[in-house]
Amino acid sequence: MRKYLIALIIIVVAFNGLQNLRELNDLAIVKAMGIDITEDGTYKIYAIVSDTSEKESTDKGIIYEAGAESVQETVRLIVDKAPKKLYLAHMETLILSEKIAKEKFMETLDFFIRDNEGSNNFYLFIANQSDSKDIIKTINEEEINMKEMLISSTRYRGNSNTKTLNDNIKDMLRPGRDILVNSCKIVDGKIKIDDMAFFKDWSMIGFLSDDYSIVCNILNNNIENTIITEGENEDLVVSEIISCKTDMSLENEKDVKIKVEVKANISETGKNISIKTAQDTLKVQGILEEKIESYIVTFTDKLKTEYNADLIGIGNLLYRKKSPLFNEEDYLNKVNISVEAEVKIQNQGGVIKKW
Amino acid sequence: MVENDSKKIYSLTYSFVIFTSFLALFIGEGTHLMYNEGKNDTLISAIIGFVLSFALFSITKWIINKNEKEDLFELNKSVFGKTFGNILNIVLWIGFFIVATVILYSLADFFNTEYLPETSINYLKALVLLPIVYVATKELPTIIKGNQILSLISLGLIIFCFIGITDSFEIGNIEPLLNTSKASMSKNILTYFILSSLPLSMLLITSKKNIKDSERLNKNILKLFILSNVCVIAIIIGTILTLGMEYIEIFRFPEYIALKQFSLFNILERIENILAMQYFFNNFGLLSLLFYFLIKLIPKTKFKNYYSILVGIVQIVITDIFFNNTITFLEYVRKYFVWVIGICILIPILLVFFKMLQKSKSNA
Repeated sequence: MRKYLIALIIIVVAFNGLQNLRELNDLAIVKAMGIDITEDGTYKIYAIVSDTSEKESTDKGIIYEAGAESVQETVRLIVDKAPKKLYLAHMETLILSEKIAKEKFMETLDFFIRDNEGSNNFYLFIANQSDSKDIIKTINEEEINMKEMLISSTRYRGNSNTKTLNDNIKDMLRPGRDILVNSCKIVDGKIKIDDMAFFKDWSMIGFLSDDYSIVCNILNNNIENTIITEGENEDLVVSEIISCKTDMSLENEKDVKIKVEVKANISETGKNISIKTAQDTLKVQGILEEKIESYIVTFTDKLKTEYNADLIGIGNLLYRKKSPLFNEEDYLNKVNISVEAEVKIQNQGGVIKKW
Repeated sequence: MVENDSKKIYSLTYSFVIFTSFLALFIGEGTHLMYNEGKNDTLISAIIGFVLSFALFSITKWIINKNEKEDLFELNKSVFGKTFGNILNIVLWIGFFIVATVILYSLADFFNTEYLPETSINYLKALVLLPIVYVATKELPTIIKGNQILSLISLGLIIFCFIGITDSFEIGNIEPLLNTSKASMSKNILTYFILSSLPLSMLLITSKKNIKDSERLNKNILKLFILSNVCVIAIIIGTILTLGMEYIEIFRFPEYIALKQFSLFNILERIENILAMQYFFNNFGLLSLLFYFLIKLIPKTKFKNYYSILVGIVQIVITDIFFNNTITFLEYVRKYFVWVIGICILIPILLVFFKMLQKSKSNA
């Protein structure tokens, strides 16, 4: 029997039925993809595929485009032009038009979530005031690495986050939580990471303004580094947040307490601001604490009145703590939010001001 | 004497049977069933189920110690007589056959879903079955030794994976606890308890006389029983903390998805393929043992060498007929799988236990 079995194993391996086997040369490796939708609901896909024929070292790829009624069909239609099947496992960026984000967000992402070849570890952007097509063309022309751009923006500005599609879906599925997605737009022919797009019930509602993107990231613990400016001219205090931790807790059924602990460095001060004693440090810390608290209070008020979306997961907190308020439609308006910021200044740039 | 001794198995090697079976049964089908029913309370159910399954463990241990010469099938015949014993054996055979079929489909489905979506699932089943069919024709010590090696690798992989994934843990994901109904919680605890009976029944694959250091047997099976349960519970905690219940629910193999978040000091990333290996090793081990059980009970004829091939072919055909796709398969698993194990494996073992208990009392 042994010889029959060995023969069978050899036959099985020799007549390879593992049809997913593809040589590297057969792959059209996608770096970035943009999706637009026309008025009649047809998808238009623009994919930057690595140009393996290019001998010189360049990031410029080849843009292929196609249009059809479903994402899968459109992706396959590119085979006619490529002429290889698009390989999405190394895709880093997906750009969706505003129209898709507002009308067919999950329907469009469904293909990517199901696709077993892709890892869903790519970054999602909403094209702000531009078509995905233009953004994809600019990315390719300018040889922009959107991933690096996003990481830098998150690390040094704090107006974006480095959540991948996986993270976005995870957040989206959480009860009592609406999501934020990074956006980008073209300004003077250059790509810019722009205000974050906010969603409610899996559809995009609008864009946050720059400052509120930062506040929202502070509240969602997505901030790595950002700048806070308080006062003007002689009273100017510029501080650089180097670490930030936000804790949200439910004090009782409807009282939510937000506590923000910030470590910051002083990077610039006006004429009237001098930090020489511990008392001075406390004073500046107080100024910054007030500034952060007022930002957060304004933002949470906006969440209730203007955005009407739970972008910081208050509903999720109510759900996790089993508060009956969670089951009420307008729980956001019924919770009382109190904010406490605690700023610790770590250093003042290593100088004692004499000017 | 020397030859007989060489056919004996070390108690520790033998005890790894529980480990393999536990992980193969729980990671994939068991956790899938429990997450769907118990949500975040799966963790509490698993801990309570683990505590309760000590009763089953004690029963199995008692049977092993009380009867030193017969395996489960022989024991049934000697305790209940030939007719009822044979009926009980057929019930057990059906139970093991269905479990083997489910495990086979689950393994093929895993490779089909995560790696080879364009490949025919029947081809994958055949590919998985080929080595198993071969291994099942070997002597029990060979199968069990192989199983121990695979289990040790698997254990190492689990520890490695768990350490690497801790960075992605979000404590908030565990909440809300105790949010499901009492009925769901009880159902989940019962599921864990009933599923535990299969790994424990695997210990009755042979008798104590075939164990080399039988004086250490009780201690070793207890150690491995605890280790297996701790691993299963750790995997449940790890998956919930990494993904959160809402995200877990959308995936067929959430443990695999959780490992996509793996990052060891940002150097080593995405090692979900390690879980694929561990998943394969455990399922391979359990399938080999189940096949050994299945073949053992078929009356010996001149075709006995081909029994394992025959069982394999029947399984491919049956899975092809009954499980058209993953959805029908999961529907079957949700509706009937626990019942099959309960009726075909747990009840026969309990019957044997009570009958033996009755006999030992009357003898005393």
